[in-house]
Amino acid sequence: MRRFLALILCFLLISSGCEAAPKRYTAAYADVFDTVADFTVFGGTQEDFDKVSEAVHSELLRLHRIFDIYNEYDGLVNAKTVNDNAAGGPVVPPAELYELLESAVLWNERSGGALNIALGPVLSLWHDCREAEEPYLPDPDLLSECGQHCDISELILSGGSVSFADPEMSLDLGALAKGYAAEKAAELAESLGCEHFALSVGGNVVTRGEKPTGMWEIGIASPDGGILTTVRVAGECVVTSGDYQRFFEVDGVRYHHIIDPKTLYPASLWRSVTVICADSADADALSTALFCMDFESGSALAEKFGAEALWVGPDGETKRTEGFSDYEV
Amino acid sequence: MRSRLRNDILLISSIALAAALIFAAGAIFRHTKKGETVEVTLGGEHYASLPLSQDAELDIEGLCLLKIENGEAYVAEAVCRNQICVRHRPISAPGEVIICLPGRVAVRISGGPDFVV
Repeated sequence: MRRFLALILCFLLISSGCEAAPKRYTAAYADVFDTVADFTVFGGTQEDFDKVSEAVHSELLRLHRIFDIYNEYDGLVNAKTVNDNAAGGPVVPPAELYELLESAVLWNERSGGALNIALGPVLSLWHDCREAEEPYLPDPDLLSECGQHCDISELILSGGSVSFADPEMSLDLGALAKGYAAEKAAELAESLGCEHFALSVGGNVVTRGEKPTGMWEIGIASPDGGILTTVRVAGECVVTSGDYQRFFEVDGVRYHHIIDPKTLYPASLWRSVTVICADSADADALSTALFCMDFESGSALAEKFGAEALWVGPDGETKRTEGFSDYEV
Repeated sequence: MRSRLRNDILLISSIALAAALIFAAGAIFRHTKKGETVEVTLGGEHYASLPLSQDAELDIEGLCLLKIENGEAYVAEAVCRNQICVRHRPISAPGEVIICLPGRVAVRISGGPDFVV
């Protein structure tokens, strides 16, 4: 009896000291989607993690190349190939690109034009202004001239092939590509046996399962620095579009990277919009669309997709969909 | 006989107490947030950790110059063309990040949420 008691007590002593918590593994990839991707996994061995991490990294690289509008790659038909050739006749891109374009056309309709991947000519003008040694403002006449060639109905998708009815048009997938790629890479990690992980591709965070200590905590940045609020998720995706993420200044005025298709200038309704929903591609599309939409139509669109959203207005005031605060810590 | 029983009780209770103490200590330390530290990675690999509370300068392989001043970290100089990291506001809240993409440098404040978006 006494031995039995002592055994139990020894077991208690040992188990109190060393709980076998699943190990945490992380990797960062700096060469995808002009941003940094972070991959965090709980559980398994280092060997398991290295295998999955390599697969996730190559999947992100593969999709990055497919959606790249600036570079060509040997033997690959990508977004640049489509931009350069689709005016001359049908181009057949990889299935992922075709799928993304189909979904982009849908999102354009759903958002009443607030999300438009055919804004290429306008975005490339702003891109040149921002990246110049001395950033400058685009010439207004040139800007409205470019705006004439941003009609997404001139994008013809038919049986897997892409063509442009307007020879001056071009596509920019920046609003959708990261969220879509994060979703695809997360699906791949899941299929390789990962159950508890988070993948962030430039601020598009996909979570699966929980951490050993509970749900994943995602801080929502305040546009003026620091953290505005923190949300807890397990399985959902979180993304923020903000005017502070990429911008340049001319004469003390800030010009950020999210261009309103209606005005062709940086959207000014909100400073940031955060979206929480089940699918990372939807979350990315929604956050960009909502950034260019008023609260009423934006919250109606979010509701349609079971998404929750947080808006930060020009004076720092916040608005939320009804269910957003349920996620807040 | 009686003293054996007393010894047993003493032994049992001291083991139980030790178990309780170790358990409590584990629980406390697991939930204590690490002191705020500036973590620097280069090409995804750990490069340096510096306390946020102490003013410092760190030359990251000639790619960026990281400065810590008054509890805030910022990139003062970078060799890249676009200078996005230099224009980034100083960071101090747990989870905040500054990234210099061309240099593959990430500066992150430790503690706090898993990600900041």
